[in-house]
Amino acid sequence: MIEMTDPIEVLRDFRAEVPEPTAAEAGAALARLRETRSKRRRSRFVVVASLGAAAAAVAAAVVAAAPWDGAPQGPSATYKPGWIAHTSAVIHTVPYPGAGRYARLVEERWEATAAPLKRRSLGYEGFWTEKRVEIGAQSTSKGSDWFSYDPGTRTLYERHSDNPLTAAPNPQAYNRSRIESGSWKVAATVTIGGRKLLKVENAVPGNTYYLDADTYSLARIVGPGYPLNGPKVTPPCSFSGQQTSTVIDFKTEYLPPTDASLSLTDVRAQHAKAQVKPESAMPVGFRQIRYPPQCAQRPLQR
Amino acid sequence: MATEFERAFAAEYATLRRYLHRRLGREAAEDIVAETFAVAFARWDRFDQARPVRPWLFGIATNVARRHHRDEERKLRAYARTGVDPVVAASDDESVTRLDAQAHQRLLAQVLADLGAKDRELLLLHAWVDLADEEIASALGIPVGTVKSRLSRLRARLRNQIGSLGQLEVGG
Repeated sequence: MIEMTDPIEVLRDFRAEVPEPTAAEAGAALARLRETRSKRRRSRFVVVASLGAAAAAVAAAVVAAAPWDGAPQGPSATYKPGWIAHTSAVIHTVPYPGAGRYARLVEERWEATAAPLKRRSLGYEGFWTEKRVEIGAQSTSKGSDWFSYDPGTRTLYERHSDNPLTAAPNPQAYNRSRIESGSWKVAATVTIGGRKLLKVENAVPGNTYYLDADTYSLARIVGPGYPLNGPKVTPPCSFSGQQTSTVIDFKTEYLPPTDASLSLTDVRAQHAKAQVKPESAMPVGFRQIRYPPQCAQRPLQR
Repeated sequence: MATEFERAFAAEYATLRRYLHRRLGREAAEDIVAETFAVAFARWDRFDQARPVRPWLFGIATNVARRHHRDEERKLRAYARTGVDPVVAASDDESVTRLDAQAHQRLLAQVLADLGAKDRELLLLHAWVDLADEEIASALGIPVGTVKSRLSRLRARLRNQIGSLGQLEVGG
């Protein structure tokens, strides 16, 4: 049984990836407000001067609050040798599952941190199949393109999205900000394998995260795992399989932006001779990544 | 007056914009924030500046945002149904790792959609903006006791509805 001290805490991370506005956006908002105010009967000079100063203040505030970009800043941000600036690099995340193979978080991932944004992942497809899949995405001038690769037929299934690809956050800075904001609570500092780690128990309900105490990079997740090719969730949305505590260790590294490492972020470059078809042509069942529709509307029954 | 308003704008713009973006999407958030500050500016002379600004501004924003309640609920239900969040562009990400967390998010979207609009705004002011009970009461124009009792009731409801989040990972 999962225990939660305050269920409202779970909501704190819902849509937490929404960024704060940039200085340019704040400036644009002020410009609109200035325009609105100028139509009123107040002194235009006073309002414009006031809001102009406010624009400068907001810009300064936003700059001051700009995300940590990976450069060492203070004693709590000591980087290990080999870490480089977050910009213009490739983040490479490698999971090392413990004994057995479990259907969660077993994904190797390469992600470019600078334009043109691209990312590629190799992993198991959720809880529905033991199939090892390769997926990727890249930004375009009109949004983004998304790919799933079928090695059996050497086919890339493609779909377009109007939404742009968002840049990968600095994983260390993200973890650090979660802790410093109080969203993640450090339950203890422990030493595992000679490595000093921060134990966080409320990052994802039912899971324990371990972060490197020096770099804040994710080192280990302990949480429920489910044997691959085991029981599946089926209507009426219940799961009767055995849940096992799983230990997954992680290595995260930055690769320099060489042609070779950037090509690892590019699913099309990896399969240059693959035929490309629209995602609508993807065979039924190729990627069963979602709940049965009737199960998506309500929590699972225990 | 101008100096104080500048400070209020600089201090609250980012928090207010992000909060509304999380609820309604970027475009609606920009519109609501603009209208909120326009209203605030017009009322600045009457605002008791001994009071904290944030609850007052969020109160104005909450009133302005109420015309978007149906849109908010529709987007939450769409997210719960499809796994694609209309509010967050990054939800296009279909990586396996993020799918692991996505099931949680879809359930939360469903839970939020099922709440009444007033309960939802109270809950999100508490969870996303970290307003104290007294500040929420001020923003929403309700007694502090009502805030406490509604939060207590919402906790119980959430505990019942999302208590199986860990189990939900099965469905990735």
